[in-house]
Amino acid sequence: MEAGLQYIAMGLAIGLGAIGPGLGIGLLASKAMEAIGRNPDAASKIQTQMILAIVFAEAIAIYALVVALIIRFV
Amino acid sequence: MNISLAPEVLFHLGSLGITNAVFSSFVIFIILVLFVFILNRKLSYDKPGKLQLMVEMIFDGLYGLVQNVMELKYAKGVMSFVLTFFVLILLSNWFGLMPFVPAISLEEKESTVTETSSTEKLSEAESTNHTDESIEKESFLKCLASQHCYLSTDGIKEFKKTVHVFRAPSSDLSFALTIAIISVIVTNILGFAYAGKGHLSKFINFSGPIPFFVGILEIVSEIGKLISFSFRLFGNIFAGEILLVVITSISFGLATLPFLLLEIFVGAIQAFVFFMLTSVFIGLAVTRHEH
Repeated sequence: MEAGLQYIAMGLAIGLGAIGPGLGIGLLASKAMEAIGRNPDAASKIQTQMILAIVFAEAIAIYALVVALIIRFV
Repeated sequence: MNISLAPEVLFHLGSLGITNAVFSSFVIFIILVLFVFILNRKLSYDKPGKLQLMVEMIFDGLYGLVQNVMELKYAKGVMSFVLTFFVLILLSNWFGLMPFVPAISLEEKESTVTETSSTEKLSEAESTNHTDESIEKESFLKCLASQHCYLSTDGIKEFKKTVHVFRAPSSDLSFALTIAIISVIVTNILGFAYAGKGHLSKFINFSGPIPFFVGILEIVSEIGKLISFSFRLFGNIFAGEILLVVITSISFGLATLPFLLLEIFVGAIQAFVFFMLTSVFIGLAVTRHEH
C-alpha cells in the first residue's frame, strides 16, 4: 500500500509540477522568436538572454523533479 | 537498479568517509592538471596548435559574456573565478557519462534475510502479537516484494549491494550546495569590497518603510539564489543519471544514444548557466548605482 501510494505521489509531483514551467518556457521562447523576427541583427543577444530566462523557468521544474525523487528514493 | 540519493562511502580516511563522488572529483582534479600540463607544453604566440586554438575560442566567447556585464577592471579577476566554476562543473557533469563509470563497482558480501532484517522483526514484535514464524514470513515477503531479495536453493537471500566506484560529483547534493555557497558568498564579498556602502544599502536601508522591507526581501532572495543554484545543478545531473539507468534497463542496443546526447548537452548547458548566472550576479553587485 505504501509503495503504491509512493508511486502515485511521485507521478503527481512531477506531472503537476511540470505544467507551469512548460507554459512559462513556451511563452518565453515565443516572445524571443517575435523579437528576433522583428530585429534579426540582435539575434545572438536575444538568444543569450532567452537561454538565461529559460534556465530560471526550468529550475522550478527541477524542484518538482527533486521532490518526486525524494518521495521515491528516500 | 542501484540508485541512491546520497553517494555511497568507499573507504574511510581516519573518521572521514570518502564517497564515490569525492573520489571522482579527485580523479577529475588529476585530469585537469594533466590537461593544463599538456596545453602548456605547446603554447605559441604566432603558430598556435589545434588544442590551443580550441581553448582560446572557448575562452574568448566566455570572456565576451563576462565583459558584457561588468567593466574590464573587474572582468579580469572575475573571469578566472567563474571560469574555474565552468570547467569544474563541465568536467563533473561529463564524467558521469564516461563508459567506465557504471562498470566499475565493488560488491559487499552476501547476507541472508534473517541477519539483516532483525530490526524489522523487533519493531513488528513490539507492535503486534504475532508468533516468531509469522514475523519471519512477513519480513521475507516484504523483502521479496520490494525486490531486495531473491529465492535460491539456500533460502531467501538478499541481493548483494553493489557500490559504484565512480559517480559524477555534481550528482551529489553536497557538491552542488558547496559551489552554490561559494558563489553566493564571493558575490557578496566582491560587492562589499568594490561597492561598499552601495551594496550594504541594498539590504539594510532605513530611508523609509518600503525600502526596509525590500531590503529584507533581498536577503531572502540571496538564500533563494543558493537553493536555486544547487538544486538546478543537482536536479539536472541526478535526474539525468536516473533517466539513463531506466532507459538502459528497459531497452537495448543504440536506444540510449539520444539520451546520452541529451545528457551531454544538458551537462554543458548547466555548466554554462552556472558560469553566466554567477558572473551576472557579480556584475550586479559590483556596479555602482549612481542616481
